Amino acid sequence: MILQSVDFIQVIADIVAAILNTLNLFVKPLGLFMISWMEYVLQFFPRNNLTVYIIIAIVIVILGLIVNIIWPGNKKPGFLVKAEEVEEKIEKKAEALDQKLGDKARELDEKAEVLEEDAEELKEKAEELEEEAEELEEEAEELEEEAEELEEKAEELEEDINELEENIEELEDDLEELEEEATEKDESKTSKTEDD
Amino acid sequence: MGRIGNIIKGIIYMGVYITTTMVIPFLTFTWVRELSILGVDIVLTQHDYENIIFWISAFGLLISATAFFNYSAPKQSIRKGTFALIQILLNCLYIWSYKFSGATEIRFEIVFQIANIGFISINIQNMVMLYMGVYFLTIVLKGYDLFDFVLNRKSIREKRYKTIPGGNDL
Repeated sequence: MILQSVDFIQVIADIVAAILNTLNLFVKPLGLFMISWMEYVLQFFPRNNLTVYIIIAIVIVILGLIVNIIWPGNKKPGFLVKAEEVEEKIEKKAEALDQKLGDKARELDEKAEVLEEDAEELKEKAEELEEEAEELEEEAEELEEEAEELEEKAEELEEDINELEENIEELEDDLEELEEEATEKDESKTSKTEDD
Repeated sequence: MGRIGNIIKGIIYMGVYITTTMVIPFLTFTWVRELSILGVDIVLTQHDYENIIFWISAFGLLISATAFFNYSAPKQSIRKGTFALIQILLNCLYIWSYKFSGATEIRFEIVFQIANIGFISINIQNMVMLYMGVYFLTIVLKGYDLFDFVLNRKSIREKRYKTIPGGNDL
């Protein structure tokens, strides 16, 4: 039983030896270099005094805690913060400009609407005025016609007056003639009577 | 991840390293000291045992503390790179401490009930050498990481703080 187990160990040892022999060429020189510097470094490590190691370990852990509390790594570095600030400023300015443009566009729209309304009103007024002007023109024409008619009537009346004056004058002349005739007749009568 | 998250992460990893570099080796060597497999005793003197336990405790403490610092640091930060490198170097020393404390030379003593036949001594120094070679490559990698973190600090930080996939410090 023991011999069997020794054989088994021998098999394992052979396998391990084969692996080591294969890798020896490449890795052993590196291992030798490692050992040389480690042996040098280990001279400075205190032996038989575990307290030093405990203190160093505690210091490292406390240092780690402090460093993690102060610099947890989730705070953005200064250059990124500045870049973000600049981006934010640009965005804000762009937003402000957009807003201003929007406001101005709205104002202009409103003004345009008002102007359109005014223009429509003015058009309506102009149309009304045109209509009124036409009416006035028509009225003026009518008045002119009426004036002409009145002038004609006045002329006619003047003519009638003239005729009437002429008639009056004629009548006056007739009257005078008649009066003269009458006086003459009266005088003749008186003379007759006197003669008689 | 905030400061509390970082600290919890560091504590968890410190616990893992305390277990793997101190508790398990301590229990193993304590158990191995008086172990007998199929009647074969593993000889480990009191001096060797104390020496091994001292170095395990010493380097185990340093490794665990640096692990706390390393794993509580933000991803791809310079302090993480620095402490990862220190941790690897301490790991090398820890592994090497097994060698110079005598733990790499395990001696099996074959004892029968009637007579002591002899002993088998396994020298695993070559294995440790191989392990050291592998560790050298790891150190080179960690050194490269640190170099990368220092050189590309700005771009790493930009990536970390921008809302792009994989950019968060998780």
